[in-house]
Amino acid sequence: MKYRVGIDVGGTFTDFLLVRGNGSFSTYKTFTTPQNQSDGIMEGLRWFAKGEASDLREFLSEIGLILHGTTATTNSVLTGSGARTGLLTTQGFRDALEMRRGVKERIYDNKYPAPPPLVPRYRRLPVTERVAYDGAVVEKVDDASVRTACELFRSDGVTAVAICFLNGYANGANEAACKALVEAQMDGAYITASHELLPRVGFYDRLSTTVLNSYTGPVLARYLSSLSSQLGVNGFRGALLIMQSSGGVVSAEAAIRVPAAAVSSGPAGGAIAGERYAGVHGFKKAVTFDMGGTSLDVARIVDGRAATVQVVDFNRYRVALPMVDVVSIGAGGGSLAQVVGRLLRVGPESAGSEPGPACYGRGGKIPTVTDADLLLGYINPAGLLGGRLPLDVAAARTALQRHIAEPLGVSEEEAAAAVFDVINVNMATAVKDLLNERGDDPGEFALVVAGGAGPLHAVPVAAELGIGTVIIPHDASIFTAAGVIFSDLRHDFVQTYFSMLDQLDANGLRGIFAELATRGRQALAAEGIAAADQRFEYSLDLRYERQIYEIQVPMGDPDNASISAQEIAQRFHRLHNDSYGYDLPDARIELINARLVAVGRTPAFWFPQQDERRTPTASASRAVFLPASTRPQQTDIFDSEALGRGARLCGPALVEGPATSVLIPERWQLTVDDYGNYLVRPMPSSD
Amino acid sequence: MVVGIQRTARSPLKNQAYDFGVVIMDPQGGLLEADEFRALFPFALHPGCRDVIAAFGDDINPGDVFMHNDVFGGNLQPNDTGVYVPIFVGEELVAWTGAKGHMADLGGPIPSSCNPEATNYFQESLRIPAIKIFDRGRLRRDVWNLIFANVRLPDIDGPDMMTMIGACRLGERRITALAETMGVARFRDLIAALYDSTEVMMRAEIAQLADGNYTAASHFYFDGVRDGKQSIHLRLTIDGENMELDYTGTSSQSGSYCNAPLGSAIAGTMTFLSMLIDPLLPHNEGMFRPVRLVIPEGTLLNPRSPAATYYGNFMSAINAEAIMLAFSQAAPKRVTAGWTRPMSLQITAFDPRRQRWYGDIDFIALKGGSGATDGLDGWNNGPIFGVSTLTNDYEFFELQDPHVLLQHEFKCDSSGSGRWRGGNGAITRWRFEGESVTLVLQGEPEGGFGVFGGLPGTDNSFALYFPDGSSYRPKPKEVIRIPIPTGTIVERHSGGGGGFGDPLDRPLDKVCDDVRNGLISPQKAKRDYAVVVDPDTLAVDLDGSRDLRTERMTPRSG
Repeated sequence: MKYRVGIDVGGTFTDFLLVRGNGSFSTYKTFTTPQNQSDGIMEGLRWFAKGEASDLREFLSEIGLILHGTTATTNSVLTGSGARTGLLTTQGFRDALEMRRGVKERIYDNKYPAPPPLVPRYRRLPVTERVAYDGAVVEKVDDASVRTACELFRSDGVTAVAICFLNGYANGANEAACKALVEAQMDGAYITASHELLPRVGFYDRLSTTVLNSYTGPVLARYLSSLSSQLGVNGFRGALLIMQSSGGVVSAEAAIRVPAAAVSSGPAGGAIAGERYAGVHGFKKAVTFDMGGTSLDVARIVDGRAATVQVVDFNRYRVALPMVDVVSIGAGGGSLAQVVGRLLRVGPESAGSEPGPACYGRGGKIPTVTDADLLLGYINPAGLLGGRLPLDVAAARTALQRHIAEPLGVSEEEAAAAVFDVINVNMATAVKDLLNERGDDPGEFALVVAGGAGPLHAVPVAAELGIGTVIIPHDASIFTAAGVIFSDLRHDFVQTYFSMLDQLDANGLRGIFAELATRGRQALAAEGIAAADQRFEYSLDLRYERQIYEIQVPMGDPDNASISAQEIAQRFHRLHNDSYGYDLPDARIELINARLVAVGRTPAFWFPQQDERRTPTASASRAVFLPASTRPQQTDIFDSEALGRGARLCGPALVEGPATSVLIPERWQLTVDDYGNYLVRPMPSSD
Repeated sequence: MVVGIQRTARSPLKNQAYDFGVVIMDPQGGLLEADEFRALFPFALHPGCRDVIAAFGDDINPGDVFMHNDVFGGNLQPNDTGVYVPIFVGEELVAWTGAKGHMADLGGPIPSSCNPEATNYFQESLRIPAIKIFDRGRLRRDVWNLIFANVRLPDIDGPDMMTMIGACRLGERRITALAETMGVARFRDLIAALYDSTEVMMRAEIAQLADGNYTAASHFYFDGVRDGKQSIHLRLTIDGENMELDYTGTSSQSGSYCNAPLGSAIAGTMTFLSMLIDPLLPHNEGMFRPVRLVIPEGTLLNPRSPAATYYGNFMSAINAEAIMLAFSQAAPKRVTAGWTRPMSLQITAFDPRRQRWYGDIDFIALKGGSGATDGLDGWNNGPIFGVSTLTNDYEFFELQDPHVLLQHEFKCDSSGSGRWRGGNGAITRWRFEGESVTLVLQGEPEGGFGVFGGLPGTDNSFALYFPDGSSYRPKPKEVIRIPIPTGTIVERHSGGGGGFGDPLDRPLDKVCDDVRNGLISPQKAKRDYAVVVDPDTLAVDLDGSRDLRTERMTPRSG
């Protein structure tokens, strides 16, 4: 097969990365088509076909692999447009979904509404059955209660059903019996049973995840089957793989079974891209810094891998499936600046794309980060996108004057510099919080930058954090699509297995892992992955007796190595100490869950080496207010297209590209690596 | 700091219910910054810090850790035990971190240290004035042992205390780094600037309220010993950018444990005030400056030693009602109707499965309907004023302790009707498989009151059903002394929140949704909302409803 294509469908743009058999590549960007995302995808593929001098059918028939990040499930949750879903649960507990363990996220806000439950109460129906905490079936499923519920579901147009029983993780027999009844009663309904999706203790986590899975299932199924058939009709014979929140891809068929695992498909691509860009430069620890118009996404990479967490709240809905560890804060080019009390506040509110920053001249009156960047001289006053988006410097000045400079009694430039500093500190704090919360030290990390506003702010943020290397990818604009191409196949499995660690039955545990590995092998085999390209990662969730939260402790292949409870305990004490600052060497340890990740290697790709070396010369210069200076300074401007492999620049300087600019402050230098990516580092001190 | 405690604590009070708080204070013990996920605590650490500073003066050194729970020195509830870590840059004290959590047991005559029969603090629990437990980095094992020799669950409370100290130390590291980087002088200047800015914001908030004097009162009717009405009286004065809350006239201190120590009263007042202003306003010393609190000594909200005070945190719910009623005159759109008053169950028992003692609070049922407000129905079975704790996960509830949960569901017809209706209460039922059970019930029976024509929610209730078929309904504050055999079922109904505005103004479709969802019955829809719904098909009779509403509204306007 000649081609592989990475496609990321985002909120505004759909990004493409085409990789040819000879290792060369092309990129493309088009507007997302929200009505049917596959329209935008087909447009991009047609564009590539033309560039390859072939017709669409011939081109598609030569694509071996399409790797796809999609917001189909994300959007259905954000907009409340998922399937009409019914819930069957143990009698007495139909409201757990809506109660959300009694959490009100904003304790002082009297006007803060509860999130609407994905399934309204009248469609949350009780089943007479009971399983005890130890898995014993106390009462079998009463068929009549299931039938009555299905009758209501049918008359109400329900197309998806979630089944989650109390203690169902310990014994799935009742759920399985219920599922069989529902299948017989509800032709064609999308059904999720909690013990199959997530056989893990924690009723609310499992319930919410199961419901979200059914709620999004029909949406993703409809979208992917429509996309597959459009591709198929036009000659595509290769494999379609879907990006998961975990940072791996799975076949479209597997994705449809676990749609809840795709809600963070987009940010996951960014995290994997960060993993690779950092890895190429020898960094095992990095954070991504993806700063767009309204938000900043930060993902963590440790031990050379995008870090994952096991539980997240997505749009206030709990999802207990592995997800790359991404935090998002309201900080971007459009973040609004205002004086509150006597302090300057920047964000989290944003001017969005309408009206946008004041300098866009679309009616925005409140100053934004972009207005400040413009007034400071960091953005070319001639406009963005080579002048296609003209900018109104006077409007930016007026907005800053009226809303910041006057109330605080400072000049407009001082106001702009303050906005620049505050947003940078906010973003640095977000990065620091993410790393500190997990017990990491920012000083050991590289910063991998993406997004339109990222390169202007990244270096001052790195300086604030004590980060010594900033990596700005050459193809930062298709960052996430590149991440999708880099991704391996990945399937996550979990099974609750209670035991005191000092009473561990090693054979029992080995049996659990063997079962999980069999499922992993089957999943990967179905995706055509040969045994040689399969890899399995084993871990245990452990905690001290009486604790509630577990720590995930990796372990070796239980088939090849003996399972040593003592060794596992030592590893757990150490991890506990790293994360929380203490350990309890005399306390007993409980085993809660066994986890397995099955990974299938996809063909490797990395960008080809650039061959030309050029000595950079400044293309222009203009007056710029550099960070922490009060006077404008004539600063060299370099055209990004003119910088080749090995080029080196010393700050202060600006590098301007069509979509974004890089700010290199004083005492920092930029070098261009073999692949055209920028590395920005502090200058070696002269003494 | 917070994540550290909730993930590693051993007591369900902290790892499941998050019944703790973490605060940063300035060198004088002023409130600088608080974690805001649990009501009361954010405003309740700095007074204890001031007590520590007063007690130790210049004997505060790097590496020290202090402990404190003295209700006559600024604490909330005796069990809410604080640890404080002074933060130094070089020789200079630049800030404090503190953590405070509800200890599962702190000694005294009753397991859990909750004693509704107490008449003074000697009958409640260990009183810990400001003491030093780490001296320049070294654990004072004598002091530590003295404390934990006097508590019933040292294996839970001891490690939990260490977790809190660990959290303070994590905070210490970051603050030291920050103050070192920017220099101590600049660090101080920025704190002062933050306070000044917050003061400006607070003054601007107060200026938006209508000037005037507003009085209100709220009551409770049983103090654990005696029946009889006791009252909190509040006179609210808004004068331009300043505000005064004067509690003169509040009943004199109770001979029972129904007293809110000053620290608890202030924390409650500031918590509810925060609900009536911009929720994003920073909480620090600056917000206190334009607010004057008058809380006379010797009253329910500022008792003298040796008063018993365990119930004080619960009284913040009653205080909240007085505050909402006073503000309903100054800022009607900002207030809520009444929330369900708290009712809590403390459990100490033996777990035959694991052969160990355990202590717990039934947080699953410590919830209720919230009061409605202009533009929003009350949260169903949501947080309670002042005690917004996380509900145990059902499966962990059964795993951690020998309990079998039978039901936890919204209660039909419990909400207070209104243009905006109150939140629904819930029914909770579970069975004891434990032995040697001691139960202490305490709380208030009332649901939330309605405002501006809204109706009240239903009340709390509590009953025990024994395996032999008999049952028992304790008083709302009682150490339950009758034997509780294995297999006893606890049944609790939490109350509903009050409604806001006239129920006849509630849109028909909202009423129909509630009927379809089984949250209100067709009978109640007709009685309170004048909406006619067929009880079999749940179809709404539009014409009939319109006629009925017209008929009911006419005599009112006439």
